Amino acid sequence: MNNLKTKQRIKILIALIFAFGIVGLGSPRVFVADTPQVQVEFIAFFRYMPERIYAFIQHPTDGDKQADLVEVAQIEQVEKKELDYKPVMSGVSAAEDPTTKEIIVKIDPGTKLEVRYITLDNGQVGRVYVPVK
Amino acid sequence: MYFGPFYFDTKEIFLIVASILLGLALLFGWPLVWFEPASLLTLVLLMLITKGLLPAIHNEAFFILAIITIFLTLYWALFPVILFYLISFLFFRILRVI
Repeated sequence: MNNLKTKQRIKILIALIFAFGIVGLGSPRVFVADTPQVQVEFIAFFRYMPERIYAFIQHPTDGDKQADLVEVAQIEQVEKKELDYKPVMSGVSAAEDPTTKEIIVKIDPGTKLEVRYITLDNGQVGRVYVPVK
Repeated sequence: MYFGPFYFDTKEIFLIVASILLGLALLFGWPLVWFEPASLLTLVLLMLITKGLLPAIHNEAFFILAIITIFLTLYWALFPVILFYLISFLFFRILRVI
């Protein structure tokens, strides 16, 4: 009886330690600044799982090439529009859609982009693509 | 103790009294040293719900979890504390504590 109780108490302790570890280490990576809002990066990790698997199959030993393929897949693609694109940097041009007032950025194939991560005041992490000169 | 068709054990009555006191603290702005009445009230209501779903045989696990959860509100924001509470229950279930 006493042995059973000790076993039960050890199990309770293990459960509490695991829960503490998961929340302490995992919560800041999954949620934005202690709110129920999920981090964009966390959603992206699962959203781009097929691309991740595809990249792994393509380059099983080259981690950099895998990361490149996944990053390219993560750039938001919009429908091709015939607009008056003005060059911003080499390989990058931009134009404003006169109807929706959206800014469309066109990146030429082969343009190298550096991925930077910025943390906003509200704790949300955003991805910024900076063309490499 | 019976209230009509419902039976309440002492722990449940104390939880209800605690939630009433916390409600009054919120209403009249009574200061609680280190603790935030709104967070505590939310937790106590959560505990009341879970206590209602648990048989009395699991009182020990519930008591330890409740004490640690309340203590954690001193250091963590409410959301991680609620997560801790729910994940602990999940582990209790996995490890067959409850």
